[in-house]
Amino acid sequence: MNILEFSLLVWVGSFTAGLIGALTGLGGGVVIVPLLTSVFGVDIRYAVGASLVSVIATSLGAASTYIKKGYTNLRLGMFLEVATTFGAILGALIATFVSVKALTIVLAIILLYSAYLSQQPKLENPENDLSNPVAEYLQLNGTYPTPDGLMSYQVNSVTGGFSVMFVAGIISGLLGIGSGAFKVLAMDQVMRIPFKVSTTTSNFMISVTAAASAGVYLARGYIDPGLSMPVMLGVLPGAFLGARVLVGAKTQVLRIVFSFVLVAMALKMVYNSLVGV
Amino acid sequence: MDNLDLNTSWFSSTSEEIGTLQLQPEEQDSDIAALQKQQTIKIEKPESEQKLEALLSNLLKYGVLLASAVVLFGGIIYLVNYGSETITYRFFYGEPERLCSPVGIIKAVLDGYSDAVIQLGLLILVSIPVIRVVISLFTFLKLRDFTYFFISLLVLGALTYSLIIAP
Repeated sequence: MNILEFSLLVWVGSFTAGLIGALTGLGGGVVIVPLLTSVFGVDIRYAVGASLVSVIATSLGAASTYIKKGYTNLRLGMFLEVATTFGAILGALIATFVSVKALTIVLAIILLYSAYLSQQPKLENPENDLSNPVAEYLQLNGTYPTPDGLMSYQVNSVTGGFSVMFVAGIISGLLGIGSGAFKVLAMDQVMRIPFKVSTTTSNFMISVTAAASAGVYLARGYIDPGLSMPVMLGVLPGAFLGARVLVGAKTQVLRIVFSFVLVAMALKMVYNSLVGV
Repeated sequence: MDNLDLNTSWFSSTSEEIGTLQLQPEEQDSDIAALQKQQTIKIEKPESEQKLEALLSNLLKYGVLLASAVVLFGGIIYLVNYGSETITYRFFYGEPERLCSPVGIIKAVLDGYSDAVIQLGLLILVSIPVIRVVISLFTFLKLRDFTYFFISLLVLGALTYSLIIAP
């Protein structure tokens, strides 16, 4: 296979990953690494570098729209970015001296966990009456648009959420994925924020988190232009189209199918690394 | 009197909504929040916040378009030049020195390497979130919000370390 054929195939694969990632809300990044490694046979370090770049691109594109619509909580995002950026640098540094086998196993576990999380019901507006003094001091409580006008919400357990975000940052730096699933977990389950705010704020933070590990990846030679180009140019329009189609689409069946794909990819990665292919 | 106060501190394009505005979000206590679960009160965001949102939204949109255009341009030249060669991604060799640092990439672009043009586009992409943090930093300084100025400074410090000091 020559570079032109390879680039076209990777472009098609990435476009599909971006489309499905946006439709299911899991993000394209989580599929790009297993797609490149187990389908295209790319070394995991190149795959991680290309995935990271595509994650920044989609995060920026989507965040632009979400900010304009008023869903994103800018202060909350910026505050939690402290945790994710420091985590990401640590993760990227760990990635440079961890074996490829260990990276593969960690990624497989994250894939399985993401598949599990995507099946969990989402809290549209969690019960949340407690006022948190730290959230108050940091002005984290905000509002978001609903069909009935702006709705206010409170932010709970700021320190707990901050800690989970640090872990999300490490995973993001380690594997070149947005780890949006973990970010949403921190905000949905720990901080009790409405689902729409947590997804959009998580998305807002992903680009900065990924940029923090991008510097380390670039210096170590993980970011290959020839591979990153079709991945980025494929995921971006795919995600954009997915976001357009998403309005009114029934995603339940898609989520289940996608979860099976994730599980299959995870098992194949573990199998490959154990057999030593 | 109340309306006058609200007009100075709050921005609203639809002035008839101002009359229903009772409290700033910062001052909301749990009772108000509970009340709002039943009936939502029309609230507007402060002007400074709206300006920041509009600015960041445009930065992200046009930034990602610019980066994609550069990557696409570099990609076309790259495929024309190297499209028929065989792929080498199965094993990790690392990238040549010229593609591993911001300064190296710019030098390589000037020397006419097509893969460096793609890498330049990726570099633009990575720099957009950094610019976003810089804009937030100055906005918070202007608003005399020193807590968030400091928070932005920490994030910027981490990014600077990753992109400039660590390599």
